[in-house]
Amino acid sequence: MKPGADRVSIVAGLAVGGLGVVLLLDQTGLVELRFGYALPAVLACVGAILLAAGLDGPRR
Amino acid sequence: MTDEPRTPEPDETAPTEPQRPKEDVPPPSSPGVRRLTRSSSDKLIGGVAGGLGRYFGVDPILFRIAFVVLTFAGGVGVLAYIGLLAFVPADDDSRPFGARRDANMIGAVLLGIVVLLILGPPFFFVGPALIPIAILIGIGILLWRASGGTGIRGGDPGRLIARAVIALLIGIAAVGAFAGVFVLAALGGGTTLAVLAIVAGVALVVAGLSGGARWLIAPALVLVLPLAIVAAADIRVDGGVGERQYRPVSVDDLRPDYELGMGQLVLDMRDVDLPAGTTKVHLQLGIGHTVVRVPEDACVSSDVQLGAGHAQVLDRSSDGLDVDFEQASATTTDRPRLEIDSDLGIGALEVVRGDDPLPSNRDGWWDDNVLDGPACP
Repeated sequence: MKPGADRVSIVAGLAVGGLGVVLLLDQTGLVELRFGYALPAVLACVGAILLAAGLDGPRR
Repeated sequence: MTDEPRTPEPDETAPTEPQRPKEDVPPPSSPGVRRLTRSSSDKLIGGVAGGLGRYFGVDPILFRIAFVVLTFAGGVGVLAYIGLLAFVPADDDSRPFGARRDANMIGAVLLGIVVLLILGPPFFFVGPALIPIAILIGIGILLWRASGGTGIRGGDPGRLIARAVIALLIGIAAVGAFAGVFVLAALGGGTTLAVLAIVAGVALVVAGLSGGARWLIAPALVLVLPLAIVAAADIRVDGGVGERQYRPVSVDDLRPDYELGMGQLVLDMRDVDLPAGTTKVHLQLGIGHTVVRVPEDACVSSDVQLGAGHAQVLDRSSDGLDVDFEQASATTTDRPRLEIDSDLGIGALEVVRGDDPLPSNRDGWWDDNVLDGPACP
């Protein structure tokens, strides 16, 4: 990884962006989002960010 | 926010290689055997999460979050915490409840019963609503960490109060933003918000590659979470807000569609003399309560789609998330058929025959033991 890069921000960006794509697909009618899929996706997104933050530690 | 200078910790100012703090050193044990102990230094309550973090070599905040989230899953988090508090020894040999292990056990069992009583029905009936709260708490913790927060231990009271006030203000702002995005999405702005979420994600990645912008994580989550809820429940509130009551007196008065954004929608068809054959009615409600009274002699078939809540159609009831069921009536009968097609976001649907009391008005909320009879009388 590039020196000075922030892993937490990158993970969060990928998670939020991915969720945004899924939500856009739902809005356009290409997929039909239900709680059964949305909740695990949201929790996975938050979990990935927390995990990255936990492994990385607070910013110095 | 993240670039503010922090007060250096003792190990950061040391000229030589920093040593691990004394309290983080695991207690002596048999060679080659790692003991799980509660941390006497890294603790908010009993040092359980601190000990687990030290044992598994990860940040204790992960275990704290897990305990909080699991608390909303029927109290499992509290029970697990109490169990570990009771049976895992501390690294300084202190006892959590008393000096005797049997006292610890009795105390843990009693506390577990209390927690189950508190979190069990009817106190835990708002379980699904607690999930967003738990997520918001997680966001708050993220924000706290991103701003350089180090926990509540060891700080001076004035600074802690100031931080608590700031955290409260941030929490209020987050809830307000959450509600605002929720309403915007429910009003039909979902596509724009989804595009904004993608832009925020890309911005985070780009910022991450050039140093990071963790302060952007919480706003991005506040943008994307309510949108996910609105999308999953398929909530649309553009049909208006308030209470709508319809009581058609003839089939000519009956409309094919009844729509409301948020509130209570009542369709009373007791006076309608349905013709032979099939009559179709479509109901759409974003958030709220829908009541339908069908004629005494009608055979009712239904197609219910409900994002989250409770639906009861005559003798059929279902609740929870993604409620989706169909109920067909006999097609061979010469009685008039009524087809109810309902799309609801979050709330409740009650379909009863004639003057039957509503399930929600009977003794006890949603008494599933009292049924309204079959699809055909």
